[in-house]
Amino acid sequence: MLKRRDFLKLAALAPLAYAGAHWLGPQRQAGAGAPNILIVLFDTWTAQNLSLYGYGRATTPHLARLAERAIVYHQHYAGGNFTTPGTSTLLTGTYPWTHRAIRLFDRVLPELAHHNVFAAFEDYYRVGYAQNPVANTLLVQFTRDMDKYLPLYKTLPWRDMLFTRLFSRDHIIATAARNLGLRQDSDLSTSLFLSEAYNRTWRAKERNLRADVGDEFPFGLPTIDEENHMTLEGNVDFLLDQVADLPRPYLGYFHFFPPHGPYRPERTFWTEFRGDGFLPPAKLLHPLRNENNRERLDAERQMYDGYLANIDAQFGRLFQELERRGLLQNTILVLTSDHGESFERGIIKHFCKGLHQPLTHIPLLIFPPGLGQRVDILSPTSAVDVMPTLLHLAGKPPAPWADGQVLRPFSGAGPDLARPLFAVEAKEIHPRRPLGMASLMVLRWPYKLTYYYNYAELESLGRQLVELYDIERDPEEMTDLANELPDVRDELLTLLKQQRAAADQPYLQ
Amino acid sequence: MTESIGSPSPRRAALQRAWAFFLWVAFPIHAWAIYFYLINADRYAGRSNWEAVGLGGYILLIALIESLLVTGFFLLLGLLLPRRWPPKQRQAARIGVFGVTALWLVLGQVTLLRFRQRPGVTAAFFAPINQPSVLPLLLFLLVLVVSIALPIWAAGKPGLQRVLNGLVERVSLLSWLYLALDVAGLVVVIIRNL
Repeated sequence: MLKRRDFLKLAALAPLAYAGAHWLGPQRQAGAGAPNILIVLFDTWTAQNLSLYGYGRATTPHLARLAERAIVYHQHYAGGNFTTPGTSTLLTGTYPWTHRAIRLFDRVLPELAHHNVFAAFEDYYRVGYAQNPVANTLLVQFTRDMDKYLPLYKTLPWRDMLFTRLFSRDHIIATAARNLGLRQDSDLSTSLFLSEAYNRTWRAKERNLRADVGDEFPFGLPTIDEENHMTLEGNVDFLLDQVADLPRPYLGYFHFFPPHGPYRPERTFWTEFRGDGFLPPAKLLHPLRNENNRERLDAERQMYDGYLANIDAQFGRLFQELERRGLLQNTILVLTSDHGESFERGIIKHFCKGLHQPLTHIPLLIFPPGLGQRVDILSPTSAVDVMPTLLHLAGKPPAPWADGQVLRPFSGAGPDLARPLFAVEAKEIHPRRPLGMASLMVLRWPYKLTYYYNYAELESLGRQLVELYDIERDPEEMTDLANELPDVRDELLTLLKQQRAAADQPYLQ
Repeated sequence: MTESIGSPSPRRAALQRAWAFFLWVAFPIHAWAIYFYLINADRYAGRSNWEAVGLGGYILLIALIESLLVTGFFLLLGLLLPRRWPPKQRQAARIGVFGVTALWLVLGQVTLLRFRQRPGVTAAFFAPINQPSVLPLLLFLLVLVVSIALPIWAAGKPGLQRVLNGLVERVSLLSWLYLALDVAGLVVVIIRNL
């Protein structure tokens, strides 16, 4: 029988045992030679505005140089048009109609929460960081499958994270309450007295910040929500610091907010494209547009492009530093985005119903260690393919739940042009209800069909609209072929409706 | 002055006055918070009912903290009043000054709500602090002096004192209801953070 004295001795050893377990860390089973995987994601980063993919402004000179050592995917598509479906598609390897994170701040269905890239790499050291609060919501859901979760505020040196910290288990609603209660959205708030004091404090802080950074940022410091500021340089330094100390092999997911709006380029990059005479192709206004002012679209585009160039320079620095510190050895670097951004046909930014190329066509570059030449993959790929590819590269079996497949050239197969890819926009729909009002996209090379249905804005069109474009010949989507190619239209539309019906099956009453 | 049998001790009476003043302060703060939350409910219609309730819980918590802070601030401000004034007059002065200030702020918010553009009354009221120029500054000072002087003058009139104190008594009933809601909101916030 355990004596009291023995019990006390054992109790005294408990903290040591706990500390030992903490410092030794979990036992990893992955082989010593298993590659590290580093996913760097820039939010709202459309491929359509990158000179790497042929855009008219030199927004990515550094990336173009580094791409000489990468596999460059030219037709890579997001799962949706904003952060929730875009990020969850990447992290789960499934389409939005499967994981059902379709509204702003949604998480994937609880019963599917374990179907994620972190769970798939259970013998790796897994670390996740998201600077975008919407993506952070998803990461919080996956923390049980991570070894290290880095809170959002880690890269925000000047921050108002009081509510996030005080109510860390309910930070989304707590922050919404702060916005409604104190921050004076639209100059109004539920608070009569505190909001004025609160806002004066923050405005004073912002003035001091501006004084600190001089006039390097003519539109203010980069920010995630007008109050929590960061710098692109700080983001890069943060990533470098984190990666340096991670146990090997690791899976690192770093999701940075820029170039998400508000666009805040440094002065040098803002002036780079000012008055350059660049004219994007003029496109007809879309029935689901949200901005009629062409001048505003062009002005925002110019700011966004400047921000892209700013990010490109910082990514160049990141890559150079990773290499200089030897952190790219045996490391697969994946560079991508969650969705794009639009400045055309009356659709501004991305919180909209469109699924045009600027919104869904995103960059994907994979830098395998030691690749000495550029490889261009022209066949279409999707965000659902990233996780299966990483599993393949790590020598792991495929995840049975994933919708995607291993990307070329790692698959060793030829291009599969008959394979359809999908994107879903259904932010008005409850996750456990059928997709009764949505925009759905199917891409089967070279045709891309988008089906918009049940929107009030489409009343005059019978509440639905079908668009068909030949992306190979018409990458700017200038000519709608829906009426010219009825056979292609009907075939793709039928395919899309079949997929939707299958996905909706569990949610029919 | 001789204290009559059965009347509360000076300390207890001071606490009672502070509590009555707190209830007076809590009234406009809670009324505006609840009103503004409800008219913005559509912004949260896409979310679940439980999240909407949670949001309301946080809003009530902010209102409660705001009420406590503002009460403390005005009680401290009351120390500036002449010590020779009887407690009832001091209380009436506090009630009046807070009432006028709250009225200004509600008017500012209502104006913004009505026209959805700056400068609202609040912004115009505070703007001269940022960019001093003679005329707006004089106007600002005039409004400030009147807003403070009028209730302080009224506090010296026994009739108006009775009106103010009676008003506080009536409003207190509603404030009790708000405080009950605060408790419910606090429980909601605690549950959501378990």
